[in-house]
Amino acid sequence: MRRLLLPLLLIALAAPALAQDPPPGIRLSTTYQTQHRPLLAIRPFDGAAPIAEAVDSITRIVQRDLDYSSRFNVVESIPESLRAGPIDYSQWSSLRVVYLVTGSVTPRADGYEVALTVHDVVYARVVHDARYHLPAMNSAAFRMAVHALSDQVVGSAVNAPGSAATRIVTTRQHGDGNYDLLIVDSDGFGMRRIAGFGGQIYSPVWSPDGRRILYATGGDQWQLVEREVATGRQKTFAPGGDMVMPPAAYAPDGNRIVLGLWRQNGAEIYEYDVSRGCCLQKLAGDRNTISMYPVYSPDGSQVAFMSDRIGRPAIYVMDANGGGATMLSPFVAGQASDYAAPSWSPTGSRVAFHGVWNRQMRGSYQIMIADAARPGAQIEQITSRGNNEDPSWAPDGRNIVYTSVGDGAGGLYIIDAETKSRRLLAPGNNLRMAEWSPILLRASDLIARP
Amino acid sequence: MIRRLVLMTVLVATPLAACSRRQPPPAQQPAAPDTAGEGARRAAELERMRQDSIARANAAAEADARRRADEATARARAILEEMVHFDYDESDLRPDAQETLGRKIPILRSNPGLRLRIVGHADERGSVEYNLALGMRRANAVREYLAGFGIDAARFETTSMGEDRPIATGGNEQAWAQNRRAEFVITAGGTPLTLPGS
Repeated sequence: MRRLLLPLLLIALAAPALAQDPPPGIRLSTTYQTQHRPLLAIRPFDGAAPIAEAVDSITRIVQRDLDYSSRFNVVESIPESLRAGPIDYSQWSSLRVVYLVTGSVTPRADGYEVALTVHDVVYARVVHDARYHLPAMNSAAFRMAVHALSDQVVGSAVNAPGSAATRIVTTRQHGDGNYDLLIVDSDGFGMRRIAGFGGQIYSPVWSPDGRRILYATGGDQWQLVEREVATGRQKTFAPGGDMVMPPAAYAPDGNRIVLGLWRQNGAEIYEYDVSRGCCLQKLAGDRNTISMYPVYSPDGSQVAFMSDRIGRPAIYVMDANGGGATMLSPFVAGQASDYAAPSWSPTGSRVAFHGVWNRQMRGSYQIMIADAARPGAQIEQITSRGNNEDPSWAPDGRNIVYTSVGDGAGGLYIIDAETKSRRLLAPGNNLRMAEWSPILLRASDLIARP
Repeated sequence: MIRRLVLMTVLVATPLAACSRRQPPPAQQPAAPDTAGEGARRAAELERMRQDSIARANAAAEADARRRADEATARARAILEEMVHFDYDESDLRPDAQETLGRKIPILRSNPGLRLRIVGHADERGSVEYNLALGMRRANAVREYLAGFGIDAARFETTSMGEDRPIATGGNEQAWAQNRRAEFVITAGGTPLTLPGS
C-alpha cells in the first residue's frame, strides 16, 4: 500500500511545480516558431540508367540533409514539367522557390563524378557550380561524401555552415550498468558500436579535427581514453588527482584539454596537455566543492563549467587561465536550482546546458540557452516536457543534439534552436551523453581535378 | 602461548601416529609363547592408543580454534562490509551511518594490515557525471570520518560508481534511498581478521 501511495504522492507534489511559470530570468520558448525560411527545391539529379540507383540515392540524401539543416523549407515534390530539361527561372520563381539545386551524375572507374549547381532563382543566377568525385555507392565513404555536397549547398545558398557531414558519438547504458560507445551519422544512418568492454564509458568528446574521441572509462579506477576513430588505436591516461571527473574537452588546438579531477575534498578543473602528456595546471576549484564539466569557447579564450560553490550546481564562465568567473545560469533566490553539462556553440557566445530552477522538478531537466557575452541576461528554455539532458551543438551553431525521455519515444533528439522543431535521431531510453562532431569532410576535398 | 604449545604437540604427534598406524602387523611367532615379548607388545599397543587419542584431541582443538577464527573473520568481514546510506544529494553521515562506521573502527584498529576500498554510489536522479562526483564526495566523507578516529587515511582508497550500480530498482524514494550509499571492499589484510572482544 505504502509502495503504491508514494509514487502517487510524488506525482501529486511534482505536478504543481511543473505547472508553475518559470521565474524571472528564464523565458520559456518551446513552441514551434515558423521563422521565415527560404523555399528550396532539388531537381532529381540527371544520370544514365545503369547508375540510376546511385543518382536517386544522392538526390534523396541531399534533399533530406537540406531539410535537416533547418535553413530552408524544402519542396517535397517537384511538378513533372520541371523535373527535366532547361532551367526556366521564371517558372521556379512562380512557385516561390528561392534556391534551386540541380546536378548530374556520371560513372567513373571508382565511383561517380557529380556536377553540382546551386541557383539563386530570385536573382536568376548560378551561385555555385563545381564537379566532385564521389566514391561508389557500396563504399563506406559514399554517404559522408554526399553529406559534404549538402553542406556545400548550405554554404553557397545562405553563406552559413552546415552540419550534414558529421557524426554523433554517444554512450549506451545496459541494464547491468555497463556501457557501449556508439557512433551515428547526422541523419541517423549507420549507427555502430566502436567500443565497450564491460565497464562504464562516460562523456565522449571529439577532437577539433574529428579524428579522435576522448572519453572516460570507469571501474576500480577511472581514466581517460583517447581513441583514433579510423584505426581504433587508443591511449589511456590518468593525469593526476584521486580520480578523473569526466567530461573533459579539447582546446581549439587539439593538444590541450580541460578536465575535472578529484583532489582530496573536491572536484577541481585543470588544463592538461594530452599530446605531450604533461603540464597539469589548476584553473578553478575550491575546497569541499565540486567543479567539473569544463568546456572551451570556440576561440579558446574562455571556459564554461559547472560548480556547486554556492551550494547548488550552477554554470559559470571564466577566462581560460582560470580568472574572473561569472555565473551564467539563472539564479533565483530561494530556489534550489540545478544546472549542468554546458556546451559552447561553435559559432558564437551561446552556451546550452540542462537544468531545473526548482528542486521539485529534478528528474525533469530541460535544455536552456544562455549568452556568455551577456551574463545575467534572460535565459531561453527550449524544451518543457519529459527529461532532457546533455545538449551538444552541431557545427552549424543552430541544431542541438540531446537525450530525451518522457516526451514521445525516448532517445537522441535534434532540436533547431531557432524554430524549436525537433526530430528523433536515434531511439533508445538508454542512450546518454551524446556529442556532435565537427565537420568531418568538406566538398572542397572532393573537387574533381582534371 | 597455550595454543602454540598445542599446535607444536599436534605437529610432532601427527606423523608419529600416522607411522604407527601404517606399521605392518607383527609376524606370527612360530615358537612357544614368549611372555616377556607379549608384555612388551601390549605396552607398545597401549602407548600407541594413548598417542592416538592425544592426536585426536589436538586435532579437534585445532579445528575448533580454526572454526572460531573463521567465524571471527566472517563476523568482522560482515561488519566491515556493511554499507552506509545517505540522504538525497547529501554526503553528511547520518546517525545510523555513524553507528555503522563506529562498529568498523575496533576491527580496523586491531587489524593494522587491513585496507579498504570505499565505493560511493548515487541514485539515478541528478546529472550523470555529477553523480559520479557525488559518489566520490560520499566515499571521502566516510574516509574522513574514520580518519577522525585515528585510523590512517592511507588505508582507505576511495572511488565512485555514480548512478550505474543500483541495488534497488523501482524509481521511487524507497529504491533511491537504498541506492544512495557507500560500499566497502577489503583490498588487503582480510584473512584472517581478529575480532576484538572475542
